[in-house]
Amino acid sequence: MDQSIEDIKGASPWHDAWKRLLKNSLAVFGLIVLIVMILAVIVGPSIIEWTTGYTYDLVPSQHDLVKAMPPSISHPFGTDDLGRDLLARVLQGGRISLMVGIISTFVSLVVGVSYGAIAGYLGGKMDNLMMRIVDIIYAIPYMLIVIVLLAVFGGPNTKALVTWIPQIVAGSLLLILGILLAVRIYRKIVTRFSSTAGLAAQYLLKGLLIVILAATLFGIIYFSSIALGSTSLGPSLANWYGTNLSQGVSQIFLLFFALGLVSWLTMARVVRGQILSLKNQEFVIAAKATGVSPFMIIFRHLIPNALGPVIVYATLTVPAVMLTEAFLSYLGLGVQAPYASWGSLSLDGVKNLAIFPWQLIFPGVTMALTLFSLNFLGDGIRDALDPQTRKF
Amino acid sequence: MLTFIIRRLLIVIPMALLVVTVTWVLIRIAPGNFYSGEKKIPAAIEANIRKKYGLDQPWYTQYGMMMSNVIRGDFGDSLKYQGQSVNEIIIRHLPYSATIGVLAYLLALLVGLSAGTIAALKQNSLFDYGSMSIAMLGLSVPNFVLGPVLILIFAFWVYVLPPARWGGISALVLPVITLGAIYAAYIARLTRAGMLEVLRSDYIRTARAKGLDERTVLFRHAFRGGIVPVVSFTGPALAGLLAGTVVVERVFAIPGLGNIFIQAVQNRDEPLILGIVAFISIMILVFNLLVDISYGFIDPRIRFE
Amino acid sequence: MTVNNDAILSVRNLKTYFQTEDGLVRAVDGISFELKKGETIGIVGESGSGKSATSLSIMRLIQEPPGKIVDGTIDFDGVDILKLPLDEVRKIRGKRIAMIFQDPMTSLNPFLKISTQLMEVTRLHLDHTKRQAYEHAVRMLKTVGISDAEQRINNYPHEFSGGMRQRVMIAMALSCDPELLIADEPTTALDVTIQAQILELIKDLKARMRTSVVLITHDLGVVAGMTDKIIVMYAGRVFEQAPTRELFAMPANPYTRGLLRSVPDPAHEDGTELYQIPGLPPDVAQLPAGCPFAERCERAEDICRRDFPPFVQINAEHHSLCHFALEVHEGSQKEALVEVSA
Repeated sequence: MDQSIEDIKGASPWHDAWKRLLKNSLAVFGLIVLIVMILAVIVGPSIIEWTTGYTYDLVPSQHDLVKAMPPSISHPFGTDDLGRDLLARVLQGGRISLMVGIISTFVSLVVGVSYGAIAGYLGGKMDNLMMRIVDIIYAIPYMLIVIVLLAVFGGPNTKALVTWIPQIVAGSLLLILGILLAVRIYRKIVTRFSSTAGLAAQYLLKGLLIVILAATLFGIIYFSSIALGSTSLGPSLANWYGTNLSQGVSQIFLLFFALGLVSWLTMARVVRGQILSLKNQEFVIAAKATGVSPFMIIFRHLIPNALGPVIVYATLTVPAVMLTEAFLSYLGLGVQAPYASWGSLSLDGVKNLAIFPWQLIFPGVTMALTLFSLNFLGDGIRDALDPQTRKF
Repeated sequence: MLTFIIRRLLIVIPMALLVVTVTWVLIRIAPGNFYSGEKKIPAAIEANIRKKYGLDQPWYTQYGMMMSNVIRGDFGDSLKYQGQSVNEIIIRHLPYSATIGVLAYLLALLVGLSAGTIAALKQNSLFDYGSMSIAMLGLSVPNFVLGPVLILIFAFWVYVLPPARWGGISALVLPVITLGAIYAAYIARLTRAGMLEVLRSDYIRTARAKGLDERTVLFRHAFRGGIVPVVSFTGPALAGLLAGTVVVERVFAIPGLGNIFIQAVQNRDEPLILGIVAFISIMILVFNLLVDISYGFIDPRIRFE
Repeated sequence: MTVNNDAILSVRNLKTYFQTEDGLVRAVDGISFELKKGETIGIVGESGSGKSATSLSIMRLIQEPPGKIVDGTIDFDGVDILKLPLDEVRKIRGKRIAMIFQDPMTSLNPFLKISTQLMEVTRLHLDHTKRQAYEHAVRMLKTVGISDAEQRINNYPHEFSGGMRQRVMIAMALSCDPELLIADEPTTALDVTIQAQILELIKDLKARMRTSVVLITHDLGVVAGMTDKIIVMYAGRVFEQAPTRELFAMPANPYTRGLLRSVPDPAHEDGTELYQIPGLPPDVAQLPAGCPFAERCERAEDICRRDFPPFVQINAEHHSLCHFALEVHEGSQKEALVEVSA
């Protein structure tokens, strides 16, 4: 009897899905590979440094003509053109590649899910407008966006960005709070005095809202005119703040955000589609009928129910973003030396493919294995969340 | 239906203009410009050039001038390639990219649809596992790795195909495979999933209960529903193909639009960037429209309001 | 049982198993029945009792894997369908045996016009030309009561209501004048008023075309007025098999009794609560050793939980799977007498 109660307790959909996932051997394989990979990437470089003294940027001071050495006991993955230990570089590259994948996906999750959910929930004209905006951004080559983001805020300007972040965040928060407050007061007043006084207050508040909107619009125009009036914003900001950050590191962090900001579009579409099909179901109508606020409906009722496809899409975004990062590194826009990512390492390997094949094989296989595992895990999660499509 | 198409086509124009605007703003925000390149130009000459291109005007005048030119379809001359209009450059380099892109997508459709369909029909067979593993591999290998590896194998080990450059059908084989591989993999997976979903549905059981043979069931009854995901994938695929051509053009030294675009961005060749972006964005928007229209042809339940 | 020449369909010891994640499901576990020409047989049972698996087995439409017809014979007009190659089965499907499915919303192809779906049957089986097939399709639509058939034939399924779609399904099934019609819960997904219309239609067409019918349902009320005999299925087994009248009057199985008592009876509306069989249908992947109904049976004794019940023959046409079949039958008989005298 106790047994059956336990069973009933554990029979939540998520628990069920987890059990099904564990039955899928390919997905479990993917999960294990990923866990091992993450652990190796976190502790690996330190272990190598303690045991052998090699790091990702340690150039040995030997005077051999050819510094690229094939795999041996001291260098299991061989060395690169400069004689740096490839294993240490692959592990360090893994840190960046995995972080690119995870952080960018996280950014795309936060932006895409909220945007898609709001568009889908509001529906009608607002939905149309928001999705047209997505269409427009879709139509701009993402390379251009990433290049501009990296160029504007990259290098010496990162400091400017860093200093600007609190202002930007505080500004937008204040704006949102102001609007919310105005709406609150407006509602209160409307319900309190439904007479002429209320009507007057209504107009007053509408006017206030217009003033607030006009002020923001003016602010945007003012700032952009400053930015566009001087030939470019970058140098002037650089002059204001002067100091340089460590360029390599700042570039990497910018890359995370830039990639996240261009990969939320599909996520927004996926979530919107889900919300559109969910929002007319009975449980949402019930929530509305009991007076739950739109905000709570979106975040407590709709998003959790749309989570399945979101999780699946997220696991598929990680490999896609990692490939994009590799592509940007290929164009010289990604990770800067001496740092490396799996993408840039594979690229270096490609150049010497005919003579030093291990330089492509090891980073390439490591990357492919990780992407493989992520894809398998994504497939497994999809099958586990949607038992209908599972294989017999 | 017709009004729907016309209305959507009319929306394409302002949207393309918006894309151009955003691009223009992005170019202007980015530090540096065409003249901050390698050569230092004397201040007086730079001032002259600035005057010639209207760069001494306030930003809104410049924007207005740019927009009025764009609306007339005239993007002016490239800054880098003196005396050549942007339109000429696009027309000259487009055929290379378009050929590779179209062939790659056709190849991907052919391979992906057939592999996906067969895999769905023979679910859990050796073919299913084999083709889906290859598809997974295709998704996990970047094309800038695949290209060189193919060159190494087919041009340097087995001397059957030229390693790079344009000319002849044989020169097309490797770039098209390199570009198409990842899409073939995607389409195969989408087709398989879509087909499996449809093949399990009640109306397929009805079709079988009528005594139709498997071929008729597949092609008349299952195919339409099964390829809906593939059709929706066409929009994102197009955007991806454009990025993909950049890599393929670099790897195989093909003078396509992608290469020109990267150079233009690196040179801050503003008119050329704007021209290419406008062209690409209109293409993407029109393709998305075509995808939406084709939904209507595939699924009669979709109504155009 | 001897092979009856009158029999259009004779199922013997049919076993259809499914391999699932939870283990082997014996969806149909050794059932036998016989259907004479022009007869209607009702197969009744709760969901998961194996009714649909039985009908799909007759059509050879069991998805393999996970399903598999493990054992038994299905003689259709003297030929064992299970031994035929698939090509031969396809010549029977749609032409000599036709099927109507439960959900008219999903059973018609949403991507194709009604005309295409109707015409392809007769073009395939009756070698109709396009024109013949079209005219035949219009005629069939009129037969099933779609008035403006000439216009409606060019519509898509989503432009029809549920009841209309089921009429289209019936038109499609009867296009080739089949000898056997299998109707798998044809009215379950429909409104009550539409249900009656559809049943009336099937009854009417059956009488006109002299088609034999297998009517599958979970609703005893549906089969009462339509069938010659009834099979009650539970957990993949035939629990009771009898002519309709006898089954209703003198059930010889506690499960059938339970089912009958849970049918609302307007004639005896006296405010008493409607009977309900306690518990849930068993998990067919993990059946106990004894009688699968024992857990829910009012009459269960130790023997029921220990031994699998015998298939008791009560008279020539009446069988029941129960340790106490005869006693239950007698009890029912007495009750019936009391009722008649009262």
